[in-house]
Amino acid sequence: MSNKEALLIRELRDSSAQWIKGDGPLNHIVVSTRIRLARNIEGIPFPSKANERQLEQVLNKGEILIKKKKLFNDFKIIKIDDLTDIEVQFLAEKRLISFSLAQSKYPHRAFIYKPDETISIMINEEDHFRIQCLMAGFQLEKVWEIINCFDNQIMNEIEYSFNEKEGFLTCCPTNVGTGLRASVMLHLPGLSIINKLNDLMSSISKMGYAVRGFYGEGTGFQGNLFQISNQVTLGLSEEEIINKLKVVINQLIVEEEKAREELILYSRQRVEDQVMRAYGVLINARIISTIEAIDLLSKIRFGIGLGIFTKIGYDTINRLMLIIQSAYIQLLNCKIMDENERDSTRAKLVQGLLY
Amino acid sequence: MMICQICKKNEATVIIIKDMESNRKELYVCSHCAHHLLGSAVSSFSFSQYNINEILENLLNPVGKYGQGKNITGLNERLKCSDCGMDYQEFTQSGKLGCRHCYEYFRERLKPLLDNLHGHSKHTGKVPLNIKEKCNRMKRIKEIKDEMEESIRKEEYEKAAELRDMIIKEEKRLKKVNNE
Repeated sequence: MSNKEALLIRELRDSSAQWIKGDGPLNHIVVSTRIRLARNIEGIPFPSKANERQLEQVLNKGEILIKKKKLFNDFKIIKIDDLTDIEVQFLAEKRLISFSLAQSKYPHRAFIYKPDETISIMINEEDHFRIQCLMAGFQLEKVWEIINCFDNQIMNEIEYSFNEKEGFLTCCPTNVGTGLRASVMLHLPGLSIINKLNDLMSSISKMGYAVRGFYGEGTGFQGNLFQISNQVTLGLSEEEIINKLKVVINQLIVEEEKAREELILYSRQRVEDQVMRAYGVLINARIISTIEAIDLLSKIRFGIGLGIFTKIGYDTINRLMLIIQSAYIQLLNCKIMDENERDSTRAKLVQGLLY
Repeated sequence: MMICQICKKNEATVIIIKDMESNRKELYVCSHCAHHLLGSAVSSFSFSQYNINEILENLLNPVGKYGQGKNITGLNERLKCSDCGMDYQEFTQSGKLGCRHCYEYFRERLKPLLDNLHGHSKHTGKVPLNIKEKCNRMKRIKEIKDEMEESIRKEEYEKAAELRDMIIKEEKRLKKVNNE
């Protein structure tokens, strides 16, 4: 690994993304809002059929972009091939790149990012460019405004694959058209306690929205954290997609607020007990698994939302939710660890931030 | 005279037969289209009859290019994008297309899939600025042309000449957009 890459990874390990501050609108329920755009460069086959030279060409275009455009002045680039497996996994755990980019075998994968981690571009993932904007709280319009501006700036330099029938052409037809996937991360412990979550989530799926867990596809729903995103990308304008998703999320927020009011009204002591027990375990445990830690941290987050836990804020809870993951822990301790060692280090790490 | 089923212009001089058990299908094409479909091996024949699977493998290659996929998709168990080589079957397994041209080659088959996935198959969202400008200019040129024709019909030749000059100017601008 080059010195430059090592330095950037160290910086990312110690820095906090903008969304981690947790200060966005409706932050008691909405953790973050993300929009990504899938784009391909005209004249180059999609990564699935591109040869090594063509993938390199895509990477070069990305490098030129950040050198040339004023908007990208302070952006950095990290080439995935220059990193160790743990470092790549760490980037995925920090939500900077997708697990799919981390696991893919394409050469010349990279990602470009703004130091506050609000805007980034994954290069040579499933599509040539995956532009992403991630911010704290519930702010779909703002995130769209920012990402749209970046997309337009890129379009001044690079011609995208586009046709008038299918719109922005993507490797997978599930993304074609706008190439836009908007997702909102919600914390819904109230609905979970009153057992309304399953029904709500299944009706959301039926309405054509995808429901995923915090830690990406196939990781299950840990910590009552849910990512809701649009699946339709074609035949609606970007604004329509965003507005429709907004309606669904608003409805969920209303339901969660109702559930919380009900719980505070009728079972305040029980809820407080659960929050404080979670705190008790977290500050006393000697060994703790990722799953247990997420579950307990989720209860603390709930306590913060209800105003019954004031020792820490959303910024600390968000940081904890990230650094307890396997690669992040190893990077923070600068060594490879087995599961036992990770579990005991995790316990200490949590206590360090909770005390 | 039998007309080529692909270009619909020339006389069909080649029959390509797909004979799989009792399911026999025939394709009548001109030598020019046969050349494109099957490669140079057949171009020297004037009227021949083939009944070999090997030819079918080649046959399914550049079909979409002729925009006549509908007539022969029944034969195209191995429809392929001739730009990136993506095989339709490969796509059905991986869910990934290979390049922008796959959308044209496979359009007919993708349409029901897109309708199913998105409830639509036509983009209505953002359009890159250069393409938007191009569309607007083309629209503008068409409007002026219609107006010019109307003026000619009314024998307002001076106005028609002015409009003609406007069209030339607009076409120059369009050319500039295209070159950018």
